[in-house]
Amino acid sequence: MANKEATVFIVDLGSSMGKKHNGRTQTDLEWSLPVVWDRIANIIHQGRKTDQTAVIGFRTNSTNNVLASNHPDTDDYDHINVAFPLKTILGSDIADLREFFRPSQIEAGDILSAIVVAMQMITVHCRALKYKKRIVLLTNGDGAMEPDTGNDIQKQLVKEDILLSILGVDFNDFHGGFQEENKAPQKKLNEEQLCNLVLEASGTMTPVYKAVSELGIPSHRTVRAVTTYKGTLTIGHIGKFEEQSMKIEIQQWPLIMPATAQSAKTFLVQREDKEGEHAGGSAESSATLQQSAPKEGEETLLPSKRTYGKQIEDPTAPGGKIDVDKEQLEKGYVYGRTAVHIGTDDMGVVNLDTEAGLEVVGFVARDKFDRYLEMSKCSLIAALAGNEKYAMALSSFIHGLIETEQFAVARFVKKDNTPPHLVLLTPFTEDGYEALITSELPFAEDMRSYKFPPLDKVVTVGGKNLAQHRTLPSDVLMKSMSNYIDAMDLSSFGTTDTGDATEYAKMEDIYNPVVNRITQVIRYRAINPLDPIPEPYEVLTKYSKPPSALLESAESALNAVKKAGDVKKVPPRQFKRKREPEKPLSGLDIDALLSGEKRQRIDPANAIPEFKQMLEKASDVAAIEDAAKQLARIIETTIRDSVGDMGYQRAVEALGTLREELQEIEEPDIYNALAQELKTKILNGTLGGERTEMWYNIKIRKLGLLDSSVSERSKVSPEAAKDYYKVKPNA
Amino acid sequence: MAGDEREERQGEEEEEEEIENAGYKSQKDAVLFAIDVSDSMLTPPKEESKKNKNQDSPTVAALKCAYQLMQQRIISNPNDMMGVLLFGTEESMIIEEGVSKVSAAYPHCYVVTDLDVPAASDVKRLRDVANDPEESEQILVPSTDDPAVSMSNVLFCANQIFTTKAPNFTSRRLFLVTDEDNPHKKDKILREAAAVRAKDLYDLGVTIELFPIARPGGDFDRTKFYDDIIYRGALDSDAPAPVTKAAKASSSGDGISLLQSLISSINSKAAPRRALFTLPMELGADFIIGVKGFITIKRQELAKSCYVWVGGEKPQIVTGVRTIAPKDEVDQVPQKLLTTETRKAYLFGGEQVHLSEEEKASLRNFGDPGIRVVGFKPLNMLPTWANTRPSVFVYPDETNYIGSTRVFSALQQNLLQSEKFALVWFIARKGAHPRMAAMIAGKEKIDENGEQRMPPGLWIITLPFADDIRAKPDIPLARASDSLVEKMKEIMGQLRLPKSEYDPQRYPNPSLQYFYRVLQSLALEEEIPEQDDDKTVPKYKQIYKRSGTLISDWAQELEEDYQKHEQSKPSTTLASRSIKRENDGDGPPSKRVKTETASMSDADLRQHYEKGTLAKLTVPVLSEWATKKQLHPASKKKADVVAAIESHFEK
Repeated sequence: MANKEATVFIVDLGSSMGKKHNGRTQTDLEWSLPVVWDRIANIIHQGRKTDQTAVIGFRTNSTNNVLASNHPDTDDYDHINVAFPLKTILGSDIADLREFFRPSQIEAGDILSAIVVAMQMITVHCRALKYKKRIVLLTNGDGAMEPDTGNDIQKQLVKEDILLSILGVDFNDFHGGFQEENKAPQKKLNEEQLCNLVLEASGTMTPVYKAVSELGIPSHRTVRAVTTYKGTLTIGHIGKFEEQSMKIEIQQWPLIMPATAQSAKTFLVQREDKEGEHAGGSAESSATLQQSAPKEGEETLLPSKRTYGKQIEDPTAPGGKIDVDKEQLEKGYVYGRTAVHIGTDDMGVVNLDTEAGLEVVGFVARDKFDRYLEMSKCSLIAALAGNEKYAMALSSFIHGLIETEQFAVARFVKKDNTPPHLVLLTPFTEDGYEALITSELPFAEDMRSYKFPPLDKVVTVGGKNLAQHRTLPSDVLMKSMSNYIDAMDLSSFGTTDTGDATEYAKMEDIYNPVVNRITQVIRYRAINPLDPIPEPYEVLTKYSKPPSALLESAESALNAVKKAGDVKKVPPRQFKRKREPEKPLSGLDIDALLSGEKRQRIDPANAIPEFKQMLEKASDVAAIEDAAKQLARIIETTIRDSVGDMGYQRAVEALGTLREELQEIEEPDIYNALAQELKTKILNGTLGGERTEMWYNIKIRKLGLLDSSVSERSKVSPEAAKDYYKVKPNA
Repeated sequence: MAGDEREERQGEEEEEEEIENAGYKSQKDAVLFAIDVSDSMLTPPKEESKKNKNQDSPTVAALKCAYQLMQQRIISNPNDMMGVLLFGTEESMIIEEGVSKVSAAYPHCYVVTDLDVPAASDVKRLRDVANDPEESEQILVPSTDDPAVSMSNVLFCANQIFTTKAPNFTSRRLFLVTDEDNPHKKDKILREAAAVRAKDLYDLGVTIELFPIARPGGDFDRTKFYDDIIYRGALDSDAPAPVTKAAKASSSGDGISLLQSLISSINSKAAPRRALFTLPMELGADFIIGVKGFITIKRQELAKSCYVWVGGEKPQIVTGVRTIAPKDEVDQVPQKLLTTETRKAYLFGGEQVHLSEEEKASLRNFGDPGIRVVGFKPLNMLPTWANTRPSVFVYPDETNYIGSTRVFSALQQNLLQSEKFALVWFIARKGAHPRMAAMIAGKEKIDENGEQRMPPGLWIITLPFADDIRAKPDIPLARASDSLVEKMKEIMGQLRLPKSEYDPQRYPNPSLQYFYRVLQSLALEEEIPEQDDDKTVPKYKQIYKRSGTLISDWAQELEEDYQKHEQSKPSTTLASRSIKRENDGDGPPSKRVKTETASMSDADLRQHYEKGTLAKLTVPVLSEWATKKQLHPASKKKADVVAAIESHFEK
């Protein structure tokens, strides 16, 4: 359960906010409002019902707030306008807010009164319930301010435990940094008073320039730790040898949990029909939608869901499949291509009986452990909450690992009768914090034993070891690479806030570019539906390349290693009109043998090899064309004779070969002509009736025309090649 | 609109799919075993040592190998095909539409199981032929013709099986097992015919993997015949793999059987090597080499359950057909207005947010695919917790950049020496999310038999982003005394794994193995097997013997230290010395009371059940136990939880 939060945004809408200051091209409001929008968007995007939000404007033309209505006798609460009281803020509120956030024509309206209105809202709404309470105030500090109420407000804020954050346009940065020159006396006074208020009520004060510069840094709300395992860490068999076995009660939490990008949902397009009949009830509250929807006339997007029909193969049915009844289904598994039905109640029969637990299997030396074997996201293990004896026991385990320079391998069963995993237990200590890290290890079945030649020597077929070879680095290359690695060292290239050298590109500074980019764009588009999407925040690409200062200092080292490496890019592949036929290991000239055999007509049963061999022998274009046509006829026959889709993959393979080979020997137009012919025949039904599925295969496997971008001699443009995939009605 | 749906499915394809531009072909593998049957192939090797009695004949060993590989591939490559063909047999048999029939089309070729995704019946058939002499007696009879069989016929038979059964596969491999290195020594025409058919196979994209068996006292000379048949790296140009040595039976009397040595050489070819990517690796400005990436570590998961239709004679696998429908009641919307056209939109606070196709595409575009070195750091800046997924193996590739291998080698050797890693920006392919990764060097590892256990190269470890790192929870802390740590160190010293290292090969996945053994027995309608010996279970007895006393010493010390620790505390303060992290209040400590009462042993609970006093226990206790046992009460209400536990005991 998340903590409940109540946030009131107070935005200064006085006429001076609509003016430009300090040489900026934007008005104060235009410049600073994105900071407020960002926080509001963050709340909307999180979409938590427990987040309550209100928005208040002050120095507004009109007055609309409870205190003003309750106290008609005073004008203290005039020019304070509540956009909406505390509630779950939705995307549909954005359009209204956009209208609301416009500078007024007046300067009147009191900052402190606005704060009082906000406090009143919070107190009434939250009562004594547990809430995280916040007021965010954006102002440029112009305008009048009642000086004597500050003290009461401060007391009230403290008492109600409300955090006041002030975003000040051109406020002095009291941590050093920006100081406004020639500040107006009124503003100076206001700033000072607000500053005191914040200091005494433990609030925060942020100059807007700073908040704006931090806009791109993703904020992520702390996720409450969820225990993923609660049980024991043991050495030995507790049941059999209780006295001689170790048992520590522990808890586990996820430490690494990859963030995922928001995914788009699928909607069904619904168009208004010709008689102007409107679809009922589903298109309300689409103010933002209407503005941002693609301009394709009147259409509505309906939320959709997927339904899953169940079918089995039935060669006698049209399409080869029939729907089946739920009643006749049982749960089961596939073994090879055999269906094994088990029945829902007996599904457990395939499971290994296991008991939950984390049992040490043994210890491994740290320097003999291959780091690349870790195969999962990691979790954190600590002693059972509140139990210091177990904490002490675990501490001895952790320090034992550190001092013996070992890791532990353990068998982990999360719950009874779930599959066991082997995990690596490694110590984690930081500022007195002690825990174990777990990461899954691979089993024998998880390893694929691909073999690769050694990199530091070359073994000849005769078994000789070569120390020098073109694939081995020379001493010069080795040395210059070593220098380059040193020159590009990041371990102390960064700087801390206090200016000390530190590691550059720490993991906690690098944000997921796509996840945060998508969030950035969704929010931007939701708030500014008519604007083009912005550039990615700089922080998202900052670590995509080496820092330029480092590059400069490493330049000579780079040049040296480049020279020693002498890498040459292979020029783009040259297609050959004629190529050498491949020979077996012995180098036997098969071509000569083939010439003895009379292969003039391609045998449909051995079509692909014979087609390739005909091309190898072809001495003129006519021979190539003849071979290609023969293969094309075979493809047509394969499709025509195909029962259902049985022959399609064979046809696809032959067509793919035809395309590849004709591209290779630069005869694209022979292919294009045959492909056009094939398309016509498939679509007009002359190849044994309905063959849309075959056409679909051609489309999806991209077996269309060879255009001039892939084959120089082609007369087909890339656009025309795209058109090939389109099916025109009646064409 | 079946097509549209499929396109959508392609679009949703998971990022980490293993695809290197397969072009028009299906990313599938078909393996056809061709096993020689002859007098010499049917003669078991002479016993050279007493350890190995009843050695199998080479043919039978090869069949057992094929059987084992078939079982293994059902687990690891459930969509790939396999078949077994014998050649040189007296009988000639093909399979047509699932039925075996005698045929003169390919004399002395005998198809045992057709090339297909194996069915349970194929597994059984192969097992019977390999293990049951009665079954194989009829089949394993060598032909008496001279020559016994024409190799060109064998190769064309294989050609036809691949052409018709595995059309358009990216990988088609013929595993040829024989001890005859010169089948047509007297007949040049037959030899040439075989060479021509071999070229056909090459042009068809079939790779021939030869598994030669050396006859007793002899060697297998490839130059006599097979060098005319086999082509160098037709498909597998990724990296030259060493040529398979001829398997020998008990060659040095060390007890390694022919079967074992065959299995080990076939296993190394079990999965076709497919690259995950071919990418430029940018070591510095304008300094690029070529590399290929391989998935060599991947969790082998249990098959997902599915629906099986049992309404007919033969159970059938049910396939799901996805259709898309309006979420809300359909009758609200006039049917005629519904199209099957769909569009995607993001939801933001309940509202739809739209992006154009170009905008959508731009969201993921952070530059071209590649690996770019940002800089280098010492390995101690790569903590063990910085891990998100299995690592990817990287090896140099000269195809696009000549000289890549030597530069890569220099990088790899230097990183090993200096104990550093490269921090890299990594985009695996077009449209893939960019990642930050640590690229570390891996040494080549060789096992006792001189076989490579781990290849030399670089490994890409995907690092977590700031967004992925969770705040650490509040935890109880109590530092152990030095003497307690010393006692623990003694225990740890006694319980090292062999060679103090973790070797995955020693640990088969127990649940995976059991799962498939049960499934196989169910498919073959046999008895359900016992649970296997589980290698992941700690060796309790050994632990007891080696460290039992040490552990009780440690436990005693712990008890004493803890008592001292308790007494040393000022009596007024509460016990918890937990350290506050960036977490908000109400963390675990407050749950203390609850958790301590919540552990209820099975026996205790059973007692309550028998006495009928389950309902007297508290809901947390009951729920926790129910969760542990994976009971699924209808609700969290006490009555339902009690009911669930009762029905558990009733069973």
